[in-house]
Amino acid sequence: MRKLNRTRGGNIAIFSILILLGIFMALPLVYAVVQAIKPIEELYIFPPKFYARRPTFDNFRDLINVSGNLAVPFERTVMNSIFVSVISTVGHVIIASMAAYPLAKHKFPGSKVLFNIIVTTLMFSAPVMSIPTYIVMAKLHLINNYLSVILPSFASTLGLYLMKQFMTQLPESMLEAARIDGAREIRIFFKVVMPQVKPAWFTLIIFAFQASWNQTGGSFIYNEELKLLPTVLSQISADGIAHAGVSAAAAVLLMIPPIVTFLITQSNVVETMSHSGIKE
Amino acid sequence: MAKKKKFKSYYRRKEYIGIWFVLPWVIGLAYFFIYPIVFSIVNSFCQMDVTPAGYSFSFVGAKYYKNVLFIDQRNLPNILSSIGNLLYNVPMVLIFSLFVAVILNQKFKGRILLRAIFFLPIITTGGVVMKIITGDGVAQSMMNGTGGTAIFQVTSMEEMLLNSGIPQEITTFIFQFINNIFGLIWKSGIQILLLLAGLQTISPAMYEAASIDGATGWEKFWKITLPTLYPVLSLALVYTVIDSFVDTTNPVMNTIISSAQSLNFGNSSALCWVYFTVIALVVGIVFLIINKASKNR
Repeated sequence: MRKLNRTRGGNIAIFSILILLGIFMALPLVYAVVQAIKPIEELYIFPPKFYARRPTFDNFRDLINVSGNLAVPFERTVMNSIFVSVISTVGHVIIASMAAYPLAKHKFPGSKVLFNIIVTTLMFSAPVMSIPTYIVMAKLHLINNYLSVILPSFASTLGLYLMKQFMTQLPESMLEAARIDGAREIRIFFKVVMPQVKPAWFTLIIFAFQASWNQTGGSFIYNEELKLLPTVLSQISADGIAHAGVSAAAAVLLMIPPIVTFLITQSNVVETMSHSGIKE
Repeated sequence: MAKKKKFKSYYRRKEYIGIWFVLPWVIGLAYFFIYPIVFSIVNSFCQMDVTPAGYSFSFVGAKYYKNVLFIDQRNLPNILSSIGNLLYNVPMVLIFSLFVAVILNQKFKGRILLRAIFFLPIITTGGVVMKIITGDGVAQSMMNGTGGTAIFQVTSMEEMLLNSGIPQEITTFIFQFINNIFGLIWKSGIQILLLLAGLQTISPAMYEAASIDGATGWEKFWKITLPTLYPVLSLALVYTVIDSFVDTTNPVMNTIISSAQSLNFGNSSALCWVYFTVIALVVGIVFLIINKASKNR
């Protein structure tokens, strides 16, 4: 890849800055992890310490104990969340990319209008729209149904916008070559376009999974058996001081799946996607 | 003649295929965005009453808009201050995330780990993890601004600087910056990932060719990296602008959400629409700048 022609000293300086910034970013989370492995008597030492004197896994054990007392088995809740997140992520990535392809590469009637709508909807954030959205869900009879959590993510604008920006970079001649070879649009999309914008949809997987994993579904799902992990964990940790350690453990558990998704996708992105074989 | 007709229908067919590709998304959009948005417009002009049969609307005209704009004195200054924040936040976030993304795109040991660290804020901001963490006093103060100084014990340094005769305005500015650094870094997570993905689409052959022609790293950055990154950079710009407006810590957003929670839907929707108009204007200006810049390119 890119050959660095900086001096050694310059490199060291840049990486020290980077590491310093990295520490800034990681600090609150390191603190959360440390809180999770602190025994109860160390949790309220003032000033708080960034290390645990006697690290234990008691908090995690307590978390399992507490969640064992719930009406619904804990595994069920975890599976619920994984199910919802995976379905939303897959649907989000496929639908957003499919919609992005013609917007980036075909000019069809109304495509300009559609693009303006996309940017407009980006400006409305979910909390503002929560009441009208509830009414829509109630009208569609989707309350207490996972579709109420999954379907809105299929219509995400951020994903579409992201995929569109990346697809505009694709050289037109590559698509033309595929067309001359007789490929249909759907085939071009899956065999030519998607492999070329792999970094984009791998990034989108991270966003989409992260967004749906964090979804509480609190305003749509009331059935105890169907409740999602974030809701249940925040119910557990809502008990205040008595459960401070347990809620830190819960926070740590909740962070694991998005981090794993991130690591898998990032290490799979091939170093650099070249616009292979096309000479303009 | 027959040939020409066939040619035309090929393009017509292509147009229709495009529509099929977009259709699933458009249906979702209509249900989950357009309908709620229309509902909220109606709501801002009507009083909504919850009745046993559901809810009913009665038209009240621009009453809620008057409430929001003239009776409630907090809203206008809040809106102005969020525009002010934007001028400061957006360039900082973009420059910072570009800097980090370019470095993270290079090959070195442990870069996946370092990327993961810069991705952590995205995991935690928003969502339950944040709620659980911010339930804790220390982590809370770290994130909402007083943290930088608290951690590095710079209060005594501020006094020292003041005593050494540096004007108060400058020291306040410096320390405000240090205090905001958490917020700034934490807001850049998505932009870093976007730019990183953008950087990965740049072919190494371009850099190689440039090196052979004797370009320096600096020249390569301005002549190759930046122009190729342009679509992604403009995406990051628009995202940053909108994100800075609709962040839930923003005072205007707070008012909108809290008045909706206290069942004051009319006021909430009206303020939402006033605010939305402001955002749309700003984003429109941003798009004008982007278009102009891309034409000059």
